[in-house]
Amino acid sequence: MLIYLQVIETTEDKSKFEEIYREYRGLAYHVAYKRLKHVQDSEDVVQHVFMKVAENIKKIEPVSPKTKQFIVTMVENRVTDLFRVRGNQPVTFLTQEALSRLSTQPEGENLLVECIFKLPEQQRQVIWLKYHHGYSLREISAMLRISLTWAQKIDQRAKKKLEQLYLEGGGSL
Amino acid sequence: MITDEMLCIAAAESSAAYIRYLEQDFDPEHQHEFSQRFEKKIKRLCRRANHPFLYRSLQRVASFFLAALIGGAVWLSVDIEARAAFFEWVKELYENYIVYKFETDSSYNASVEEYRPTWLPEGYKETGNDVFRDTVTVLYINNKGQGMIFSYSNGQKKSDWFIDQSSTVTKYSQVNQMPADLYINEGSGTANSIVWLSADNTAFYISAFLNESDLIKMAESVKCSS
Repeated sequence: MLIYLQVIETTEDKSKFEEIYREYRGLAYHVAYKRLKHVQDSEDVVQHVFMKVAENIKKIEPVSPKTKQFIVTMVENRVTDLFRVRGNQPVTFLTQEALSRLSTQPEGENLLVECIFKLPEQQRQVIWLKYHHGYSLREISAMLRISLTWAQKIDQRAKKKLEQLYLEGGGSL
Repeated sequence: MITDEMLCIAAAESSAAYIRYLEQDFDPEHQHEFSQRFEKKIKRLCRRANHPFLYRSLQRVASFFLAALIGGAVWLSVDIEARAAFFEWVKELYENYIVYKFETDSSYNASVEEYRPTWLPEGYKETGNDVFRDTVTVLYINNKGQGMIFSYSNGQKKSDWFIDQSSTVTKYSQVNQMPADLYINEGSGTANSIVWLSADNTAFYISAFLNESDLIKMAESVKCSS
């Protein structure tokens, strides 16, 4: 028949989404507005990102640094999409100045961390979603609205580029 | 070669550092005040997150429709009898499914009432409801985790309902003297359904793991709750 009725949602999912929304909507807007400089567009980005959160609510952790990072990654991706759709060059946070500031943070001691910051935005996002958040390339392709083949290519290119940057930076493999 | 383990550690560290960098000029005490339009959208989203099963069911209906269109399903006939009985509802029969179409004209004064069954099988409780196009769908779940769907549409906008009739036996019955279609499954793994129209041209649908008489009993108990 039309429906198969053995699945049930948990009450934890209810509050989980609302808590995540309350906790991170401000930051999500802040990140979007910083690049877009447009209130309506920034709100649209936040709405899109929380739609993705709702779709993946089962897999997303409750309020946590990891969830915050996931939301910011999704905001950035959506903002870049908007720039692309409008034929504009995406404005990126990772300017040379920003890179040098990030490199001076404690994590910057790790060469591979610095290399990740030098990756193109989409490659960096795939690395974060796959290796930090544990999503499969299929899930990532749906989140970033790219084909699975393209997600696989980005993953391969990112790893190749990281190896190159790592060796150039004096790392040994 | 850079190992996955190295990547996992570096990805976590770089992500954390990046967030700290972005948060440097973010003041949680002075956050943006979102517009009403935005808040409305988020409320809808909350309902969606709160009831993923309900939304999956609705998406399933939409996907089924698309699959049928792409697959070029064989259209068999329009049920003229149903058209007469169901006023502005047209029942189209296809090979494996049935489509109930409500095509209202602009002069039609649709009902804005809310409905609920006043009799529910033991253990069932309403756990969610939502409006999709013009159809209100209410989800009930019992303590065994079995679900049951009650839907109605008053046809303010054009709406289509799709019912998969593979492995089902169609029976004709009545709900409060109004004609009703019953879809009884031959297997035990899927739910049975009933579709009928009330005297005020509101169309109703129940899908549940209930036998024929309980389905009719529940259908006959539907009352205006608003």
